[in-house]
Amino acid sequence: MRAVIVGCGRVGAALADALDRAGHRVLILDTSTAAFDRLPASFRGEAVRGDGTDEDTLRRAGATGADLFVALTEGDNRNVMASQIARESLGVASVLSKVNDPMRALAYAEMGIATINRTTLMADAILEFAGLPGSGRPAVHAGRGHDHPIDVPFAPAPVAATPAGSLAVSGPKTGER
Amino acid sequence: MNDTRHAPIRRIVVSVNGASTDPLVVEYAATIAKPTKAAIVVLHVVEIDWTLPLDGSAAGLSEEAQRILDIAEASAERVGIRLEPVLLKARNVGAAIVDEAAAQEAELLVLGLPYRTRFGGDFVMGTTVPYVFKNAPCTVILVREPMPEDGA
Amino acid sequence: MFIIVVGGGKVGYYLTRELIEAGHEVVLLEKTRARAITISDEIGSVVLARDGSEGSALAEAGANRADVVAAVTGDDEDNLVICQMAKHHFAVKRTIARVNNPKNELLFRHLGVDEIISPTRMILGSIEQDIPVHELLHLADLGGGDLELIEALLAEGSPAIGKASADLPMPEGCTLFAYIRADRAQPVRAETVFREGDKVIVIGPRDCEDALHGTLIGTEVEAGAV
Repeated sequence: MRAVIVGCGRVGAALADALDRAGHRVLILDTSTAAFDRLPASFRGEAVRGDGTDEDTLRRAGATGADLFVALTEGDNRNVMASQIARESLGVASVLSKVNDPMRALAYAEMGIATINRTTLMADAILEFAGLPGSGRPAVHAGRGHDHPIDVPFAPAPVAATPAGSLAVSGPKTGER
Repeated sequence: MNDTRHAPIRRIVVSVNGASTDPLVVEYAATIAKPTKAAIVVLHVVEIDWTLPLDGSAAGLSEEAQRILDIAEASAERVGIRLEPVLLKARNVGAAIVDEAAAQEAELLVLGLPYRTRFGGDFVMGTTVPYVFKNAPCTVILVREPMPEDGA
Repeated sequence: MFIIVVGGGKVGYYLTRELIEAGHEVVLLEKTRARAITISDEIGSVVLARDGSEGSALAEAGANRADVVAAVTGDDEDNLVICQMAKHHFAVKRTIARVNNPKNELLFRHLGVDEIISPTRMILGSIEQDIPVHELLHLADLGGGDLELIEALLAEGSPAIGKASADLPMPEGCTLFAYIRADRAQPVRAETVFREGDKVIVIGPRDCEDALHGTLIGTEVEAGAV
């Protein structure tokens, strides 16, 4: 698949590397070229300096029509804006934003934007490590009202156990509200 | 603004909020008011958050507010003085106290500060007291609740 | 009306002051505490030191009963999120966003922001109206922003000169409806033949400009130019 990642932080770089190793075409953007130092030398994808919330920048970088778009900058708002540009203007079917404010994550899920929440992910991974039940809150809110486009079965697998190259994105079970 | 150092005290605004210090504040104001026969306004400000309009009815709130003012009046009766009760609704307690002191042309504003026994015991100034100290148009007296005795 | 203003920069500050003077109930959300205190010292207890794009901050500000939410921070992404949260999570009737990058206007409209104020576009608009270049001149937005009113000066080299209106290859959805000759505006008829120096007025969708350029101005549009 063709994947676009906005934000080359630790997670962005790791995801870019994993997708690249798995043989996917990866485009990663960041406003700072220094951020690309996080990418391994073996990375074969494209790294473009630019603002992921700027439609022109995204188009010029070749984000149009990608299969997957993931916004992972440090700003919740930048992430949801980038995602909506990707979905509405660039025709990307599968879009995921990192949103750390739980209320915002829920609100955007209600609007059909899939969100991923670091706090919940980490808390659940720690609880799982301690052999305790999880928080019960979904770390990934799939956008409601849209079929989740990535066909990965729902599995609250611990983050650490995720094999490199696969994507731990989970949608709600069919029939679940 | 008047230099308040030597201004004779004719009008005192006493702020009450339902805390344990309310009777102390009223009694303290009474000792100052008595010799000069100053009038005492007892003020209670109900803070209304932005989810409600200021002019809306707050029936439950005013019942509680009335109770707070009643306790203040009972304290005043014990020391033989009369109070003029004022009940206000506002977005910010500190600003409302300052505004009321100005509107009443008070020469003195008396507030109370309870002793918090939780978390090791402390006086917690919060936001209202510092705001009033910085912005009041007259002298401000803060009546502290006595600290509990050691070993109590 | 009860209005929530988000962003206590110059715009938010003066907006709040003017709204209060006009007799409205206003609360201003400003996330920088020091700035929030400065403003409330000046205009009173109408400021909450909270980040308005946080759901809980909008809830505390009374978004449940707000008539209008105006997002006027300096960051487009914040303004978008504030308006979307207000609209979708709190069912606020009217949302207004300040848009700094004019390219975001269409996106914001498309994503449900009711009104868009673009200072950049406004200034750009007045500059463009002042400069007599042989280009298409954007006069105004119409129909909620999907259409625009465009003026074109038919200068030397324009392929429209000497042609009848009916023979001009107009782009899809564009209508030539008036022209100005010798300072007189006249309706365009099928048989109207254009001359050098005519100004023609067109209504059309925003994306027709490139094609229109070819028909009325004639020079090739550079790739990538808008």
